[in-house]
Amino acid sequence: MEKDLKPVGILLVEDSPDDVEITRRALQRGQVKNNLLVARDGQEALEILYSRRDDGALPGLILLDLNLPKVDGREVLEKIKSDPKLKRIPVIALTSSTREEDVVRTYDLGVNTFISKPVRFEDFIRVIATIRDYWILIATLPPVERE
Amino acid sequence: MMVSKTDITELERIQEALARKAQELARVNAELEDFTYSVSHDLKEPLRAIEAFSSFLAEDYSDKLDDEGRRYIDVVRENAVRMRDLIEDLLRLSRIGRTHHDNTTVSAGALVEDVCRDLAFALEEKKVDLRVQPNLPVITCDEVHMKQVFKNLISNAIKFNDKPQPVVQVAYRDDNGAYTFSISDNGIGIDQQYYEKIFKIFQRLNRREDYKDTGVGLTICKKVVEAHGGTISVESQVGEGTTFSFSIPKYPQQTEEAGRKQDGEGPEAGRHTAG
Repeated sequence: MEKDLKPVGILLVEDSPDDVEITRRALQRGQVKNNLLVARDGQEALEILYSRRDDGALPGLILLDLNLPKVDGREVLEKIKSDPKLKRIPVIALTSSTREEDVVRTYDLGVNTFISKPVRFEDFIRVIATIRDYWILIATLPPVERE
Repeated sequence: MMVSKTDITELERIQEALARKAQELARVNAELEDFTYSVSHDLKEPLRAIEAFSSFLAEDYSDKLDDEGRRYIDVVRENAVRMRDLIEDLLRLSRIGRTHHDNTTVSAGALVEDVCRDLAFALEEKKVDLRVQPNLPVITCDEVHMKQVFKNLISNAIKFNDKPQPVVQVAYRDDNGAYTFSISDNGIGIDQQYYEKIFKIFQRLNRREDYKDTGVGLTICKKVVEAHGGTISVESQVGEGTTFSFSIPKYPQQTEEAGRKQDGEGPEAGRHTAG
């Protein structure tokens, strides 16, 4: 069943090119079949989402770094979660912060889950691999009535 | 005794200046803690890249390198992980200052049990004979921070131990106003001349290849214990073992903030007596 899963369209919102490469590789190593789209700041992320909002080519998952130039990750999250067409896309916050206030604040804004980026790449692969399980779960859920 | 009006004005002036200084000190302290936090936090970003890209190098180019080349990559990665540990300890230390202390009543026995679960691997690996005095008392403390104290002391007792049969004992004594806990081991011991030094940040007594340690653990213990109004001390015989003891007052101490507020109220009380 897992083999039949279509690759997930992922929008990665990340300003550091190094981190983009690290995440790309971790997705590959964690065997998350994906089509990766990269936005380098919050504004670009919103532009991509808004331009695809009506033609059905929205990503299946958003990986959002919280520390972003121009439009902050939290603001992007707020915009996504308050838009009726975007709010169903699961958003996973990627951050190096483990500060409790930050975690709570992000959950309050409606993030679906939270990944704190570990220093060791091997640990990062393990965490990213959980996205695969998460995606399988979402993809195999009975379809919900669209609004 | 008569107190002149000028005396009172002078007194008020000094007290105001003192309150201002206290406020400034609190602000500088908060700033310093914020600074430590940001520094530790932002240091992790480049570190993650160093670790990740050296592991990519190992994965993709291993066959193009000789043994020495591969060893260099390992050294880079090991050091990245060591720096991560240092940063995480610094974060922990700065967090003790940042978060306000949430005092609750906690069973010290449950705390120690919790810690032992976290340390199960090390306890098992070194075949430690762990003896915990039954019925440890209930204490009033910040649970998260106090757990860290027990964890650091017990893991030190396991770590700095070269005996084939390490013994770690956790005990307590009821000293009227406070409970004194002790964590003893039969490990390598600490020379008396270092009793003070070990509580200072980044101080280590052993070569890194012998004992992996960041040198922050005991600094954290001291900071937590003192924030609870207690004291921490060490007794040791080199080659025989070490006992760390710390006291936790039975009745919750004034927090620093409460103390400051009271100082602020000082002028009122002073004037009343003077009048």
